[in-house]
Amino acid sequence: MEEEKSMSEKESLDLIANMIGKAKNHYSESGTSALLWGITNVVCFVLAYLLETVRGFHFPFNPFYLMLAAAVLQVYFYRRERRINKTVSYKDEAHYFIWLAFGISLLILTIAGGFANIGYIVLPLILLLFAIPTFISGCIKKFKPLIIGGIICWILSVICFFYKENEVYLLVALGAFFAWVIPGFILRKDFLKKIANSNNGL
Amino acid sequence: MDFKELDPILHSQLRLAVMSLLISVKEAEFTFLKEKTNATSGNLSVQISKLKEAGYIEIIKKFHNNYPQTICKITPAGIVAFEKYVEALQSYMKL
Repeated sequence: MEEEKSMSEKESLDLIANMIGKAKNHYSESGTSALLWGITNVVCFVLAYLLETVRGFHFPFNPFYLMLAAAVLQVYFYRRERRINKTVSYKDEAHYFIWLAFGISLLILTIAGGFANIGYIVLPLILLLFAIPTFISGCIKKFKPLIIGGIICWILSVICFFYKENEVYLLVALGAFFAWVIPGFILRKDFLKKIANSNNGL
Repeated sequence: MDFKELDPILHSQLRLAVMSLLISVKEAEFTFLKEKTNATSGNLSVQISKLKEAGYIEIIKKFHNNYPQTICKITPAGIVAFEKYVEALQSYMKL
C-alpha cells in the first residue's frame, strides 16, 4: 500500500469500510477453551456420580482436582491464542471479564459452600452459574449454540432444585456438555475450516 | 455550503488504513497492521510514527518470549480526529 497516493472521498470511505471489515473478520475463536472446560466438567461430574453410586469404584484423588490441571492448560491456551490473533478487540475484553467473574463466583461457591456444608444445593447453583456467562457470550457473539447451551443450563438447574438424587451430578455433566462441549466442537470445526481456506488462499 | 477540511494526517492511504484498523480493535500488533495493509515494514514504521507524532496513536514496545513486540492503540484524540474526518468525507459525498 502506498502512503501518499491521492484518494477521492469515495475511495477514502471504501478504504475505511474495507479495513474495518478486515479487522472484524480477523478474529476467530479456536473453541479450545470451551472444549477444555466442557470435557473437564463432564469428566469430573461423571466421576463424582460414579464414586457416589457404584460400589467398589475408586479414583485415586478427588476428581474435581482435575479442574486445577484445566486451569493451568487454560492459561497456556489463552497466551497462545493472544499470540496467534495479534489483536485485542473490545469483545475479547468483555469476554475476559465475564468469564473471570464467573470463575471467581464458582470458586467462592464451591470452596465457601464446601466449608459451610451447604450440601447438594450447590449443584443447581453451579448450573445457574454455568448459564450466565454462556448465555451472555452467545448473545455477544451472536452464536446460537452458546445461547441454547445457557438456556439448557437454566432448565436443568430448575430440575436440579427438585430432584435430590445422585443423578443430579449427571445433570450438571449434561449442562456442561450442552453449554461448552457442543459449541466448542462447532467453533473448532469452523476455526479449522477457516485455517484450511486461508492456507488455500481463499 | 460549509466545506469541512480533510485532516492531511489522515488523508493518506496507508495512515487512513492503519487508523481504520485501530478504530475497530482495542490494540493491535505491528505485524497485524502489516499483514492487513500489505505495506512494507519500513513504510509502515514511518507512517505510524507520523500518527504517533500527531497524538493519534500510542505505540508500546515490549518483549514477548524474547522477541520484540510493537503494540499500537488509537488514542482518544485519534478517535475524535477519525470521526471528524469521516464526517468531512460524508459532507463532501452529499454534494
